[in-house]
Amino acid sequence: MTETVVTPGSQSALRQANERRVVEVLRSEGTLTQAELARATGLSAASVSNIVRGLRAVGTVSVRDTSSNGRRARAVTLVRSPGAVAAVDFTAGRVAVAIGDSGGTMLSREEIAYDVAADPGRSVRRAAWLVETALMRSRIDLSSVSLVVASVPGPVDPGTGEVGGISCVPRWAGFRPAEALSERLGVEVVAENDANLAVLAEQHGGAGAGAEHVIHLVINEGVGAGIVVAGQLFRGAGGTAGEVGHIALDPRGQVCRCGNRGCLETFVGSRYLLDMLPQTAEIARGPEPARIQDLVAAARAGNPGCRRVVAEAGNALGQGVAIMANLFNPERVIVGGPLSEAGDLLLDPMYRSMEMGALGSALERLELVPSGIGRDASLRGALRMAAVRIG
Amino acid sequence: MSTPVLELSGISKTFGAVRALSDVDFQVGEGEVVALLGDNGAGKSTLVKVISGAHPADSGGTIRWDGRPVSINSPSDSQKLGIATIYQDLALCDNLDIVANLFLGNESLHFPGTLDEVEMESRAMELLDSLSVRIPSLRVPVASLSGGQRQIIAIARSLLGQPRVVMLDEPTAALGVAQTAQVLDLIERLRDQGHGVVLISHNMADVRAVADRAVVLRLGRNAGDFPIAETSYEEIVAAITGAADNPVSRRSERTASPVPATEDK
Repeated sequence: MTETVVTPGSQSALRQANERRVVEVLRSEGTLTQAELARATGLSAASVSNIVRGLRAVGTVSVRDTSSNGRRARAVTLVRSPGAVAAVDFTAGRVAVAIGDSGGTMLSREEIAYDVAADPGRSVRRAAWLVETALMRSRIDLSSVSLVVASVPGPVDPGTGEVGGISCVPRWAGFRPAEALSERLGVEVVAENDANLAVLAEQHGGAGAGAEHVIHLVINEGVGAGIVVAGQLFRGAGGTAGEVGHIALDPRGQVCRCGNRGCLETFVGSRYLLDMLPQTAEIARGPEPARIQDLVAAARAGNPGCRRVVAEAGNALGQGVAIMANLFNPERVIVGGPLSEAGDLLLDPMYRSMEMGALGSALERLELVPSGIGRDASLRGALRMAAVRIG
Repeated sequence: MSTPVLELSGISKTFGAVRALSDVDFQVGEGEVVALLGDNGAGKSTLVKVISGAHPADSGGTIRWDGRPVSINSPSDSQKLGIATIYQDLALCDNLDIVANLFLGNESLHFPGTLDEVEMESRAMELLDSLSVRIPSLRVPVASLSGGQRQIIAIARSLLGQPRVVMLDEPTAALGVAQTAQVLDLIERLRDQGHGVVLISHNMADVRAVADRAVVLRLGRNAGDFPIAETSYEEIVAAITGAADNPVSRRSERTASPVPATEDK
């Protein structure tokens, strides 16, 4: 479609809107004759004919002669770049699936609530179902999917594809999600750590655009980081690079699930934060267990206790990031996950403690920003990675 | 394998001159999800009606329950054995609340004849908890629930009679993705609790997601019994459509250059 600036309400704006309607209908219905297009869009046969001529000239659709009820007709089909990719995002409480074209643009997205931590085998079975269902709804055949990338909330060994032992889904330890998913779907599958995928998404069209050295923190149950050094994803020898949640901050702190004491995760992980909620706060007494989103909303509304919890989390994050800033000297540090919605309530104390822990020169060119994409970052990153690998 | 809970062999059913089922075998074991597949008119619904007692089978075949022969001549025979059937229309009363629907026709009473609401509500809560079903209030009319929740209530109701085999007729048709996922979760939970589940569905993705075996009927006859884990999507579709057994494929087997079998999806 032509992308020129037009004044709203003008003839050309109307034409563009009509063009878009034609393309939308073709996207959902597949091949249609011009007469069918006119019926489906409510446009006149003449304007459909004009629009199709324009779209054909720029290569958006292909037209071939056919017949309908014995009359000559012109069948119009959307030219899709061949091949599609799919992304699967496993997080502790849900499975999300996105279908993308070969350029990594998201065509459709489906999400279900599922207890992913309980059983890796079943989660994969359900994810395969969701991929099949999403494909069916966007009328794409499974055989045209050339690659699936799965985002896993834990470190993934790049060699064997095994999920690491310490993550928020402990039963996935040693499980090979890519292999299992590939067996179900009959398509090649690559598994990758969620923070690594999120940083890819942020680099392309998110808060990391234009930066060469980026660290993306994803804060959920634990803390993971996707690290991009000189434009390349840095995974480490066994895929555990970026497990910043286990930076030891306090030798007398709480014992962490990794077996050490006072890890960064014990200061910012969602369970630890929710345990810290002041009992007087309204959200701690609701019928449903409180979520990080509730904590952030209460802090934003000015609840002093919740503000304190968020600020202390920011402080601890700053200590951890200061260490990384000294090591990597990144241009940009992106903070993602539900806690990042707190904005400056989190980032201000975080930056102050970074100033105390890192070299002045390491922070000179460092920008601390919240995620630009939000909760779909890993899913979009997975589509992006799939598109790059097949392209 | 241990003795199946329900085993049908050589079942036939004719309606006048129409032979709806001929010589069909079917079995379902404990803790097993069996999908019953087939094209329209393949005999799926007739088979379900034979099992549920709505249409008794013609003489000749045998039905075994736990290995011993039984006869199912009416819906109450089937219910007494421990078979629950949930039809597509769910048969819920929209104006009644969840508890009233669960216990409809089966209410617990205080001695003089008033309803024991407390007892019913606590049993309903227990039942829904055991299925990990989250519904905010049990006292809302069923009309206000989503399609998935209504399906779940209908399934839960059938479980009050402690059945060992649960038959679901198209439980996911007309549901959205998230609601279908809830129903699939429930089917998995039924299997974990040791129920045998018979799932009728046209949706191959749903079948592959939860079923252990797929029994395919075609034109009233058995057209295959496939373990889901080891069978490809294409093999099952071929059995449903008869692509593996028609004049075209038979001819292609005889000639040198095989004609690719066409399948509809």
